[in-house]
Amino acid sequence: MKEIWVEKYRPKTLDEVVGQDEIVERLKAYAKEANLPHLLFAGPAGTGKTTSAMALARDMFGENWRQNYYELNSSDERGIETVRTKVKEIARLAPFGGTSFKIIFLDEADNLTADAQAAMRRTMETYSKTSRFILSANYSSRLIEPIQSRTAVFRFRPLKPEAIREYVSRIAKAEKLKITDEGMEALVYVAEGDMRRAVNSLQVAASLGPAIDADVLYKVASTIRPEEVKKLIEKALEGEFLRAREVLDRLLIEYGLSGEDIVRQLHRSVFDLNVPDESKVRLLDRIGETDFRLTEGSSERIQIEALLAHFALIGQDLSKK
Amino acid sequence: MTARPILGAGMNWAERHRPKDLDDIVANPTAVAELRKWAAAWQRGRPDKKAVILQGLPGIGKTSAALALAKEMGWSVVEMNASDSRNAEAIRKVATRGAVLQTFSDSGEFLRADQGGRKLIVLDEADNVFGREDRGGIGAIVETIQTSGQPIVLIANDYYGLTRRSSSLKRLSKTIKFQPIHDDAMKNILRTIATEEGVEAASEVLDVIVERSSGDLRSAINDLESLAIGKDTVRGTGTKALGYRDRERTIFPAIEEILRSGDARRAKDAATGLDESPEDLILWVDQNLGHEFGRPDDLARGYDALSRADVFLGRARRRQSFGLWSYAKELMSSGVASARKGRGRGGQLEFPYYLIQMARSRAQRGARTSLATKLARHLHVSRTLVLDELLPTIRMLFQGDEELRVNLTATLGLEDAEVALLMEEPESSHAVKHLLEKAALVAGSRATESKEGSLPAFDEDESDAA
Ligand SMILES: Nc1ncnc2c1ncn2[C@@H]1O[C@H](COP(=O)(O)OP(=O)(O)OP(=O)(O)O)[C@@H](O)[C@H]1O
Ligand SMILES: Nc1ncnc2c1ncn2[C@@H]1O[C@H](COP(=O)(O)OP(=O)(O)OP(=O)(O)O)[C@@H](O)[C@H]1O
Ligand SMILES: [Mg+2]
Ligand SMILES: [Mg+2]
Repeated sequence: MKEIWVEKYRPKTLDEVVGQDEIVERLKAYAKEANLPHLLFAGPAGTGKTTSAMALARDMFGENWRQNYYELNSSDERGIETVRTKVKEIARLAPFGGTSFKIIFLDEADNLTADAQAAMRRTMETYSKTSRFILSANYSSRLIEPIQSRTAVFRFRPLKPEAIREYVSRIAKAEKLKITDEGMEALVYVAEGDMRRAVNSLQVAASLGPAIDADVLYKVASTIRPEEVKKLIEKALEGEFLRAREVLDRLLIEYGLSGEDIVRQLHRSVFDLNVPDESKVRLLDRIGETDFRLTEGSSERIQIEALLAHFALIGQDLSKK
Repeated sequence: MTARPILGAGMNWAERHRPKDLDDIVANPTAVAELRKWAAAWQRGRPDKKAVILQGLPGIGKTSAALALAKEMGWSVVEMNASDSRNAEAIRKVATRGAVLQTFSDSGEFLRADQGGRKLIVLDEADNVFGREDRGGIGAIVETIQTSGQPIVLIANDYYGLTRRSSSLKRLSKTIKFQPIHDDAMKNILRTIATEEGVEAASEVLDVIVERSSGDLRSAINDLESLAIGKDTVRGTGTKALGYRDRERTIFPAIEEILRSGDARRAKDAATGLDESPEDLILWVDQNLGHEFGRPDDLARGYDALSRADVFLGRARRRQSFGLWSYAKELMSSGVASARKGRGRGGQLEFPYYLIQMARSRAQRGARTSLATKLARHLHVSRTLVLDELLPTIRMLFQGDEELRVNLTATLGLEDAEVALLMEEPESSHAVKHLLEKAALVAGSRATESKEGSLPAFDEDESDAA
């Protein structure tokens, strides 16, 4: 059946997870003992946090794993109410089929509000008999101390080129694809240690034809990366404030992004900009301030417009030199 | 949409020309026919769906059609709309009134509700039953549909916003979609109304109104009326000023003081003299600041002031301490006025389109959100990641391969609007319909096979996308 490869080829067992050897080794021991503490999986996107949690559940619970594995996407519901009601309800439930506890996977736990995190504290303790939590976060530092103190921390690293090659080759074999050497290098390059990006790029490239070379991959990479945010910055730096605002409105209205999403993307892009380091630092400072004001203010659009106006100012200073 | 003050006696045009009969509902023949079919089934007994959801953008005839239907069928109407409190208790009360209350016929005969003395329960603006204020409302609606012996019409702009909150609502109701009024029909009816009102409207004026309306007939009628009042001919001049109508007249001079006087005191006085909350005023300043301030340093300073003002608005709202509004108001007036050192650009002031666009695209954003939610679950990632990173990839894969397309549609249970977003085709296109049909076949044959359920997921029924 044709489906999206990141799901189709998501490792089913811990043995299939690549490039995170020490982590996998420890998790396998948990599976074998059928026991684990609360865990915190920290690390960048596409490095195997969700995958490892699911694989651990499978290895540990066998055929009952689905009944004993709950997943909550905390970036979508990050309020205290969720924790007080839904998380608690789930945590209370008895595990299924004679196992002693179930696993609750809280994705993007760093996006839980501080209040919500606080509300987790007693739950993690009171119901630890029936539930073990695995929290996943891109930035562990955004978790409050008491939560960190209740978990064992696992740091997932960006995947090394060998790991990406190994895994991609497996898929290529299964899908009967031919990847040239340069193609593989290109894939590793565009992936930047993110396996999801590698697999997605590969699948899009494969949908264009069976021969996968560097050209195709670079082409794919440029089409599937959102370019709108780049446009936003370019226009603003060129002093085209109104044009930049049009792009902003498109992102907010048509794409349905939140102000925070946009700020995060802007943040990521700063270091790729073709401006002197000094300006980058000024930009970072403004972006940080905007991030902060977004939480305090009421209009995302106005806050980001203010940021764009500063980009325009910095752009003007640059062109004067 | 706020009602304009009615000048002179009588109704405003939009009300005066509200269709009384189903035959007068323009440009939505399919919806009207479906509605009639559903009503006819009630005459024969109980239709399999006791409720219908009338779905569509504002001002295209939903409420009118519901009321006209009752008239045509000789049913009386029990109506609840967003101006009523609609928590569980309130809804139950109305439901029982609709179902149990018995009435006397014209001839004084006692009529039981189930003997033709039917009541149509109209839950208008059903997408605005609020989670907090109207606690339990949606559940009570579902319960009403299940238990009531009376026909129920739910009306919503934001279909996703409504049905997302309860999957049973969707299951129990028949959905009837109203289309925006297309340009030709719109122009025709405007011409008719103008004639009936004794006004001669130039064709190009009607074109502008039609164009601005995006299919919303009510807003078009309001625009026409606003241009026509006190005249017997309407010509091209003046259409520029269409927008917030009455408000514009007072607000533009104030914006002008703020952006152009360069004087903190005058700007503050102008803001204070306005009958606008700072939450509204800031939208106008925002819209025009970018046009008026030419120099980047002016713009940056101006927006700094606006951004600070917005922070105060946020704090005021969150802590319910509206005393903070005075700082917000001063920052967005004096603060902005004193930010400009260079020359202004001048030119026509604008009304804040942003809000209108935001409101208009709500349905589409609703579909985006629901699509992203489904994909997020499938891919074990957050909705945000889907929206700002994965969507282009998925779209390419989806468009590039039919088998994958069909499978994904079946697996995720994608709907018209969601599929349309992925295909980048209109919802009503053949491609979208074709795909949905195929996916339904696949889903059907799968259901009879193994039942490997999806992961237990947290129920998102009550989640509210802001
Ligand atoms: N270490 C790994 N070994 C094998 N495959 C991996 C690994 N990491 C990621 N993948 C692949 O990439 C996809 C995404 O990985 P996963 O969902 O585990 O990322 P994540 O670390 O949870 O990322 P995020 O922070 O975005 O949630 C998986 O479906 C899998 O196909
Ligand atoms: N299809 C239509 N045929 C005739 N008149 C219409 C139609 N749609 C809208 N109108 C005009 O617009 C006015 C408002 O229509 P109606 O109340 O039915 O809108 P609605 O679809 O219920 O909008 P909302 O979503 O804002 O409640 C009517 O009084 C009538 O003047
Ligand atoms: Mg993950
Ligand atoms: Mg209505």
